[in-house]
Amino acid sequence: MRGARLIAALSAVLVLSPLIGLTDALLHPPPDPFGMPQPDLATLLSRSGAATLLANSVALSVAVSLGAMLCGGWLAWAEQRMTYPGRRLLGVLSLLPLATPSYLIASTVSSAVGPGGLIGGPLSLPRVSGLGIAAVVLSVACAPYVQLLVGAALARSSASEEEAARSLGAGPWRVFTAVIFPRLRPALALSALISLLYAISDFGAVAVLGCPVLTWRLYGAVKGQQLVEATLLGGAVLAVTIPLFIAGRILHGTAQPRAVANPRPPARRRPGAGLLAVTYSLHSLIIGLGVALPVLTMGDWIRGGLARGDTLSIPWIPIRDTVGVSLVAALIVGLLALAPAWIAARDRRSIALPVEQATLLTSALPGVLLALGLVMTALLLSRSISEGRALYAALTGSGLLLFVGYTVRFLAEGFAALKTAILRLDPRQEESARALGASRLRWLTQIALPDLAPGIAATALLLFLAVLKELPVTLLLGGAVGLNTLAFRVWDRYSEALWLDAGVAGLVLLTVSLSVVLMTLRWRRHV
Amino acid sequence: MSESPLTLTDLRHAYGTTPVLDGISFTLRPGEFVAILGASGCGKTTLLRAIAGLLTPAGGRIDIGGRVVAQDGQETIGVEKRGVGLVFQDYALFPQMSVADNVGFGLPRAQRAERVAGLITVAGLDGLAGRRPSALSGGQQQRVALIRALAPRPHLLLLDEPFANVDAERRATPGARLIDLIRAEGAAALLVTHDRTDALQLTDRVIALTPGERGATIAQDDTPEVLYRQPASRAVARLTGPCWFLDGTAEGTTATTPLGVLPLHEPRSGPVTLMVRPEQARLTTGSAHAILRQRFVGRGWVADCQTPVGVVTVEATQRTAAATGQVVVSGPAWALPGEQRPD
Repeated sequence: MRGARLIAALSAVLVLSPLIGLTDALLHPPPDPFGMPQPDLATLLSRSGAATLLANSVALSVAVSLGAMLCGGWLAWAEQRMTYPGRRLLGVLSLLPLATPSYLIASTVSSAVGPGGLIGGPLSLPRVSGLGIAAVVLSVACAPYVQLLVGAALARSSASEEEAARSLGAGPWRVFTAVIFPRLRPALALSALISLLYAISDFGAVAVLGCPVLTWRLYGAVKGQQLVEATLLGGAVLAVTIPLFIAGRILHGTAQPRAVANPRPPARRRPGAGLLAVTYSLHSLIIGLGVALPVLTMGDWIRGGLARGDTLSIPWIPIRDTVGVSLVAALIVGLLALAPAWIAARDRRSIALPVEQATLLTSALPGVLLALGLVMTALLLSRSISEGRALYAALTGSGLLLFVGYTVRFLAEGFAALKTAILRLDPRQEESARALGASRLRWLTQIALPDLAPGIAATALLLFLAVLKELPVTLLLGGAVGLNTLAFRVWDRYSEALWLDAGVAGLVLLTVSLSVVLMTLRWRRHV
Repeated sequence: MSESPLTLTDLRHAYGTTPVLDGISFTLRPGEFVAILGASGCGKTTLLRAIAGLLTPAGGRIDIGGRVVAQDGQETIGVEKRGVGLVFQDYALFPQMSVADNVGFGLPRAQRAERVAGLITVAGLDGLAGRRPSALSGGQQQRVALIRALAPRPHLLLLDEPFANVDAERRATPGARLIDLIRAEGAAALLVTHDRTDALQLTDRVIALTPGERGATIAQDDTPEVLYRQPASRAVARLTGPCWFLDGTAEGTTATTPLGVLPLHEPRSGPVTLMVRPEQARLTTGSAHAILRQRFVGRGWVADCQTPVGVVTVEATQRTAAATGQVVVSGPAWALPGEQRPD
């Protein structure tokens, strides 16, 4: 247990490392590269347009949160409480956008409804961009998370409370407000938080659609080596996400899950024509924009490219890099998450909570910001020792910084999945095993680990998927290693309008991530 | 309150092609406390849910408080308008509401405070009105669930195995206490249970449900005492307590059996199947029957003995060291009415 505590504390420090460099940079702004005197903070703030960007970011994330909660929440309700043709299949298909990176949805939607696109061409629509379409794209990307969370809460609720309320004379509205809604509140709060943070942190979709929001400008500033502006914008992002994160923790903390002795699912109702139309439309919207349109559009890109005489080549090297990096990163992050998850689930000592908070905090921060913070920390480290330059080169060139980046970004995801799995270990099994004379090691290897195996496998798949879809950390920290992943290739070829290559890379990426999602959905109950 | 709180007429139900209920008919009198006793899975809960309005029975008719609430596969009055109180096995208290809010949930706002305060006192929950259900003991939660259901003064109270979660030793007390509460409110109540102790000890009348090919039917509907002493069939005899059976030939008030000539509960003639409860038979000294095992049951001992009619359980005043004994049936044995053999 002591070893686990030490590893947990170390991983917490690792996860918080970007904040060290970022804080230092905010306190001691780096000097202007041209030796010009540093303008004061107010001038800098107004010059960077941080206020407008901040307002845009907030507006976007509120819109996404509302959109995702309406779509995902309704689909969860329909899946759990209604009966209609195709319910099961559509329920699963509506979760598939989990596999589609936001930049793929954004670029394919933008291309398809734009001039010359699959839909925009025949209808001669103008090019779409901006916050409105970004809100739609990100809502589609977030809706499956809401559907999963709210659906699980609905599935856990027992019919008897609702029946008791009805027998006491409560109509449908009162049953909903007095009995169902309070049960869903934790799931709804968590859904709102996840989609708010997703939208604020998202980089891919807003970058493709050219939205004037914090993360996109932050990326530009980092790319252009404008470290002062980047630091300022980073501070602005922190100012939004950290209060949100704290609010979320408070909401989450007060929600007490209550076990139902003998849960019996409430009866399903057959919806009327209106509700049925709404349900099918939402399914079509999510499946259409989240999976179908990306596949069709990328197919169209490939067709167009071949028609122009471009040669189709399978991107073997990006495939190898992607699978390799994702596998290694999933392993590293999963192993690092094991100790804090074990501590959080089974050790009631004081160290568990701070480790958990630290782990979850960084997951709430945008990847661009984390990458920037890591660079800042590495710079700080290299400034403070004599062989600094060599150290910095070693950190970035060896790919170490890249994997630290993935760890910082996804440790929380691995942590949450593993913690749930570990919490499910039956303490009475351990007690029986010990009473039968089994050593701790024998209990661990023969009972606990086989019991945890599906949870561990599901966690590994989730992490693999997360790294596979990741863009900003890969873009900012992978370049130094000469890494050429599928995500990078889609991004790069799309910006260069090399449609054939972008389409092939995107389709390969989507195929891999869809198969991972389908595998994890089978393990849904374990995570 | 002259009309019956509940009347079932030829109630039938099936889940798909699986029949569950086959022509259930009975009537409750005002203030009467009746148990539906049946083995697990025999359709008791389906019956209760049909009465509550949580499912629409496929056929037959339900009247509650003089109104038809379901007839011929159609629901005429829904659960929220039926005026039935429901107490669930898991209590189904609303976890986010205080005890007082739970109890007041079904009451109009104007009457709430007074009625809630009165019920909380009657239930012995003073000082707990502001607590959340999770802060109460199992027994307290049970009483909250009961007074919540009683608060709107329902025509009928339906209890679905409400004692299943209370441990057996302490069950007698909360059970009796709940009955006092229900009687004080004057509500008619229907208790659905598989536990014969609950059914026989707590209620005025017991309806025994037994499974049949076309669904469960009422095997017997009478007072607990009659069900116990004069069961209509082997199934009811087993449902209501430990017992064993033996065949014999009746002649007037006695019957000749492999265990000797036994007194009969009422005069019969011809071949009969007799039911004997353990307390109607004793173990005396002798060498006729092997003693297989002996158990202490508080008021005395019981012994399982090997006899020509099979292994039977009988009472004994004390433990014996002997390996054999003589089974003597002393109480008047009950000849099962449906088991008159043709020969």
